[in-house]
Amino acid sequence: MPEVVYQFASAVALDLDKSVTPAATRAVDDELGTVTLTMKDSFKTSPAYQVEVFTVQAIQGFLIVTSVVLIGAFFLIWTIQRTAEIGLVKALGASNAYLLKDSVGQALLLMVGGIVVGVVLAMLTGVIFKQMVDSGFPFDLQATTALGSALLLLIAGLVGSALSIRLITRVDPIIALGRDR
Amino acid sequence: MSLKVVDVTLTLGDGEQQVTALDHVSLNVQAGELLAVVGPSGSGKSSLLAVVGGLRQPTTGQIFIGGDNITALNPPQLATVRRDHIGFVFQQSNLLPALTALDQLLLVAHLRGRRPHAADRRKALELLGEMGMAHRADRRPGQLSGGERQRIGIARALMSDPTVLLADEPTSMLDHGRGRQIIELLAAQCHQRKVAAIMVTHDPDMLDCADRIVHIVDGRLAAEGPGSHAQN
Repeated sequence: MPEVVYQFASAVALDLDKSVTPAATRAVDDELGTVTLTMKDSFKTSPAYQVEVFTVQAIQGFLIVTSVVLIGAFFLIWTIQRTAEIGLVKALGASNAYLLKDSVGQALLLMVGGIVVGVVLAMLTGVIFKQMVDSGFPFDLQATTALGSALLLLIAGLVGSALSIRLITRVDPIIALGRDR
Repeated sequence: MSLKVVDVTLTLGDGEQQVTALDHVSLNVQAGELLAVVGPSGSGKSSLLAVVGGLRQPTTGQIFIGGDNITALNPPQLATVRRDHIGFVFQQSNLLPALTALDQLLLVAHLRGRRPHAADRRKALELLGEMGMAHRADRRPGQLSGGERQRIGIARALMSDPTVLLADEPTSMLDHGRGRQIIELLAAQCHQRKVAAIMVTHDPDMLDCADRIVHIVDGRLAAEGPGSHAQN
């Protein structure tokens, strides 16, 4: 390496041949007192990068938590609104198992549909942004990211809908008679 | 004997608030007999239906449906009894708003955990026909009049070939002429299908359709008299 590098540079980019092993770079580091990192790892040495990534991850996390609360509230209200119907069907002889299977089945159908629509909308948004901004809008939705969030949302939704199960089992079929006694 | 109520008492609430809704009530209803239960509001009419229909467990006494004692059954077992042996006709017909008239009847098959067969479909259409509702089979409750809804309610109650049919003020939401037609249909079906039926009503004009009338006051059966259709 030219002498001038040691005088001015704090970081240099190295384009190394594939044959250079991590052990070899470590040996050089030991000798010169430098630190060699892969490109990805080198990002982490920048405090700005770390804070930015943390922010984005926090937003993602909160979105998931919000989803659980929102979907849970949705199914709760949905169940409360159906109380009279649940009472009626119970009076006609429906078992709790039948009603739960029915409710969870519908919830699942609703969520799978919602998630598919959501993923398609996200992909479309990315495509539109890419075309609107000539400079190349940095949008890249990877299959693993999409599938991962879809799965997380599904689990979040199931947790949310599970909250209303207790409500369903506690509906008293006597309400079908329309009076307390 | 299709329905037998033996010395049933039902107390609701506790402490100061305790109310005796049914006070040592006993009655029998034969297969094919329509019994009218008359009384002022709060007299225990609905409590009687709730107890006979397996919706409330009596505090004391026993209830036999088709010879089986249902008094000691737990809630899931009572649900099965309601599904297989009891037909309810509610005050406001209580149909599910999203289902067509035909599907209201086919729900009975779904409740038994199976998809409706062609035979269920035939039976449902036949029942709707007998109720004069064949031309309304594909309508939802919102598209039907009160009287039409109540006819479908009766058809649904009969769909499971119940041992006992319980009707809770079935005409209270209808005008006199329409109410009368509904009760006549109900009575005819009970006679023809040999169903033991109890109809709770406050409308004295409907009583002559019944085979027998009992009055209930403060949870006690007061007097018993034959209706004009009395068979014995």
